[in-house]
Amino acid sequence: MCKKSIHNYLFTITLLLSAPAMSQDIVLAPPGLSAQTVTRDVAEYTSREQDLMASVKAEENGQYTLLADEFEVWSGQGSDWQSKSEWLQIIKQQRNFTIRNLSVRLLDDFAVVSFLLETVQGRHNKRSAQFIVDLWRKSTNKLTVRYVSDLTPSTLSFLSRQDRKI
Amino acid sequence: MRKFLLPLLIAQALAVNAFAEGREQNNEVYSISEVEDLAPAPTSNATITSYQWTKDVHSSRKASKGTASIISPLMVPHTGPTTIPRTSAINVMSTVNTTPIFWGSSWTNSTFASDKIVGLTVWYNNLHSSPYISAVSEYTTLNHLFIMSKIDTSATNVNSSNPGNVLAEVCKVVGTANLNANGYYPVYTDVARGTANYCAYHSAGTCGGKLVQFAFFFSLDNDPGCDPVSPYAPPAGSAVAQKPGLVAGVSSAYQQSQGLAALANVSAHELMETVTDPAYFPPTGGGYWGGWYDLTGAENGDKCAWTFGPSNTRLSAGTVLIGGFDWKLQGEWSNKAQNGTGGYPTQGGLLKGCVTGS
Repeated sequence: MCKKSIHNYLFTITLLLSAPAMSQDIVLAPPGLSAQTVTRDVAEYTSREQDLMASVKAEENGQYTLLADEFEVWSGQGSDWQSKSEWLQIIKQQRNFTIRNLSVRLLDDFAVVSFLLETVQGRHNKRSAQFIVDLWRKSTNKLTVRYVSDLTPSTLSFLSRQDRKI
Repeated sequence: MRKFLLPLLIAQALAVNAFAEGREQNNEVYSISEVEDLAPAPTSNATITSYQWTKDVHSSRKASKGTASIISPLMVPHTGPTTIPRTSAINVMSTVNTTPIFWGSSWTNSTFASDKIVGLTVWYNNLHSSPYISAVSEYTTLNHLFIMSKIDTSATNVNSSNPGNVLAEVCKVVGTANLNANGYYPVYTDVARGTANYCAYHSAGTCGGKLVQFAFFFSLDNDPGCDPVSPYAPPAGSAVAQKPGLVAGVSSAYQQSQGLAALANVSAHELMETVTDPAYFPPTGGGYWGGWYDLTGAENGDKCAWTFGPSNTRLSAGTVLIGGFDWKLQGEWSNKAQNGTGGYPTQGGLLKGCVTGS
């Protein structure tokens, strides 16, 4: 077999063997169609944040076992600082909430927990969303401080679109 | 742009099956077959430019949960939009043909590979005859088959956890023509989790028009965030050596590597979720979760993640006998158990719908 014929033969074989790869049109699932096994820390603090919110709404005798005595809330809007009692009043007005995208970083005796909190409150079901950063003291299992940033309406709209896809 | 044409991979086309290995253990013959050494795709053509799967987006459904006091904890069947023609009322899998894929150059390293490939082969190959399979019996009658493992020693990178790249890997290694309509392709990588908030995930896509249900797994060696703390494995990070390989009938400490025990636990999570809530792609476009999940979006594995059953006939809480070996596996959610037949508690202890089969 001459050199040119060998070349053509190898080229043909290569094309035939490559045909399956060339025809592979890959289409990803839409965003939202990927279901994760979260880490132990994420599972634990997701449960803890839910327990906190539920306990605040349910508590009537003023005993909030998951809140540290020195608990306070900081935000970038209005007065920077919010007392525990002020914050409790706001939480109790919320009719429903959703926690999204929770992440956890463990630093010495603290767990830094960040997440998106979407809430519905009032008779008109006003929706709002915030980015939360909580500092939990691990040795006491109590929330010591919360940092809050309001999210824009466009972000809220984005979250709603995600809901409809699942 | 939702479609991507894979480049001409001459090296892939000429890839050679390296070897096939069979072993006899526990009176059953199983094989680690069709081990492939595939060349990496050229990076210049390997970028998939459709959806940008950010951590924020693809974790949104999993993290969305509300108060247990307000909403029902039960899982309910979903059918997707009613305008889409369906062949069945509920989208679940009744036949699953599993082909594990081990992806990354580290799989040639005997220290890294350790007992993982052998162990997961035993796990998948014997799952069907184990009690654990009955954890989904109220949703589907599952016929699970282990097909064969594939090894792709092409290099992974920090982007290998991206669902698009994992899907491309499955399509590359298996080949479009060989994709099984009932296939499930768990992809085990040598990529460390780093700061990601998840250990694994399951997802889906299409390749050449064929539906592909797949899952991705980080390497979980010495990763306490994803460690079930199996009594049969050395603690994460421990210098204590495991017993050499898997030893049938030896229900004592350290018969598995910590990495294998961790992978087995999250493998149970992803497989059972894929069975009860596979992604559904209608001909009209889009994609949906078409099976069972609760009102917060949590699937059967999510609702019992990182919880383990009470002590039973095995040595330790949460252990399940599969293929003659003890595995520490999380439970799966059962509506029936929550409604009265009895399960063990979820994280937080408020609900009792977790089961590990019986």
